[in-house]
Amino acid sequence: MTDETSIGVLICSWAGGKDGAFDLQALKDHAARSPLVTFVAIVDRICSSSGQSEAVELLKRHKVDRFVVAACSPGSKEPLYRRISSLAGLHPLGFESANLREQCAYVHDSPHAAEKAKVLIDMAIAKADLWVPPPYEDELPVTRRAAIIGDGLAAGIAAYELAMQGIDVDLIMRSEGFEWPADYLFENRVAQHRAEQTMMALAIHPRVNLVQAAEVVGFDGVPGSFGLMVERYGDILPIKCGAVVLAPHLEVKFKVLRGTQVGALLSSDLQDGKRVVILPGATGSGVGCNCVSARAVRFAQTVKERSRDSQVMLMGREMRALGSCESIYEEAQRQGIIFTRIEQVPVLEGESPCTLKVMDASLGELAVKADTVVMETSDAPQLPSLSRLFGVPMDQKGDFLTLETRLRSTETMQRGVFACRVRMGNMMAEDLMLEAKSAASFAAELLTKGTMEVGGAVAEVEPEKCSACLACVRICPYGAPVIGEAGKAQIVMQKCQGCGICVGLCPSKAIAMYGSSDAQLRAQASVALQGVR
Amino acid sequence: MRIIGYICDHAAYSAADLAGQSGLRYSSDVVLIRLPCAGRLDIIQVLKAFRDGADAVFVAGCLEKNCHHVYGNIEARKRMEQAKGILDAIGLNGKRLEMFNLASNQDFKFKEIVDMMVKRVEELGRNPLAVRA
Repeated sequence: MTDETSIGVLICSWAGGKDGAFDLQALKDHAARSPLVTFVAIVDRICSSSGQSEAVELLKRHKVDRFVVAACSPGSKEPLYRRISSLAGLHPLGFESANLREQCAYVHDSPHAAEKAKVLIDMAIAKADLWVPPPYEDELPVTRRAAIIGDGLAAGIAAYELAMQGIDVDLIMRSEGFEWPADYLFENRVAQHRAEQTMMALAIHPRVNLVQAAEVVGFDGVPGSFGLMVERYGDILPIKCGAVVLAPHLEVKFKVLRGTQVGALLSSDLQDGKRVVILPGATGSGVGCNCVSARAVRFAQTVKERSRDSQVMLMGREMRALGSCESIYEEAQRQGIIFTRIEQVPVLEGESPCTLKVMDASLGELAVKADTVVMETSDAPQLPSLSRLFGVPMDQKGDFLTLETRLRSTETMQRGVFACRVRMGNMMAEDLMLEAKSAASFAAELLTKGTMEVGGAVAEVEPEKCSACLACVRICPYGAPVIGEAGKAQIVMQKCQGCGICVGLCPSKAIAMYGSSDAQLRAQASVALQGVR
Repeated sequence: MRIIGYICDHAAYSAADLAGQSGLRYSSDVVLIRLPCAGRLDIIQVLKAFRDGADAVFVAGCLEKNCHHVYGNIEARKRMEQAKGILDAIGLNGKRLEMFNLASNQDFKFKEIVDMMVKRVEELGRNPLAVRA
């Protein structure tokens, strides 16, 4: 027991589940026997408003400095406990929880559940005893301004979404004007018209500051207040912002392998009576991609509409027309566009007209004569340089690597930097816009709140133990540790996300972690193993 | 019997919660310890748990390539492989330690993992380091 710690234990009346898998009174008596504990109370439904005020009142009355909540899973309840803690005048993170419902009452049968509940509550008490108040600041101001980098549709939509939420936006573009997405990226004319209207509205929006023909050359600062250096006509322009959205322009092109140029293909009826073959990108949209994308189908439709007597063939191993793009696929079939399922990359022989040697899935080997052969390619030229500058790594497909595919899809390892994954799959304009909206809403969440939370369960270097081996600097997914001026590692608290990977790795054991220190984890394990040894 | 499960705060903890909410039953000999990320765990913690008499230890993190902390689960796996080697070398079977990857909706898989570890201890016998009355 550390000096002057006093622990209160709050047991929720529903901790045993609705059938009461164990006797709460017995549990209360067990917890009260611990020398570490000042008081134990059973609170009627701790998550209800009356339960909360009762908990606050109890904590205040007994003058404890931390507490243990024995209730259901802390997963969703933690913000609530923080509130209780703050209202009771304690450190907002000064509590431990014992999950008596999901990890005990619901999964074990009656006599065992009672024993396990005692173990779980003892573990939480032991952990709470070793709790050290972490540095914590939940009101760190955030610069209420966003910088969006990119010149295509994604950048435009992200800027528009943020501006509409009342946030001032700097849209930093490489080019003089927007790079408009090609027609075949849109599902239909209506979608295209709507996107174009948005982009037009954006250009005159009072909250949007267009920085044209500019290149970002520098990026510094900490999350909440970033500084960008933008080069424009030889001048360096500093831009301050609280969030950055990376939205490079996606270029989708159809590269001519044999025959007429793409411009001629789309602008005239030169193709009448001729055969055009469209192949999926071999390397353009992912290595070895053999999927016919919806945008290739749209391109095929465009060719077909321009010269109705031409024969248009799409070849690929599979068809990717996701969501409502399925209707494009059906429409294309009605228009007489031929889809050929092939197993391997076709071999081209001769010039225009050339012969494609393909392996059809059902017909076997075929030789297809074609006047024009085009291949879909996609590229985001600005992406690699943005990746380097902002420290957001790329995945093997050359796209931004974001934190998690579903829940944190556009959040990156750099806190406050959001990225649109423009090269993911075969994106249509609609997908790009969704990606941009996602990034914008993550940025808006940070900026509209105006403050950010810093600290809590973070890692901290003990300089006297540090040997500056760089292990933490290399391993951290968020780039939080740096070698400080004293030649020792230090962890930038604003960047630390509290994963503890560096803590487990550090060979000198020089990194301590608030909320799950070595001592706390050890104590939990020893308590769990008491009576075993 | 006592089995310690170190579970990450993200996918694995949610899977364990879901197992509870779905009313799956597993052995009460299993005690779970919550980690911020599987990558937080180091070899020493695991070895000390064995020294204290744990019959088996398992670590559960997010699915590979889907880790909440990018590659914490991969880092954890590396360390656990190393720890297994140490366990083998000191004569405690390395099979007493296992690393798993879970998605947050895999409550059944969580139960399977627990059942598997219990079965493993039944096969291998109790931890010889545990002194029993």
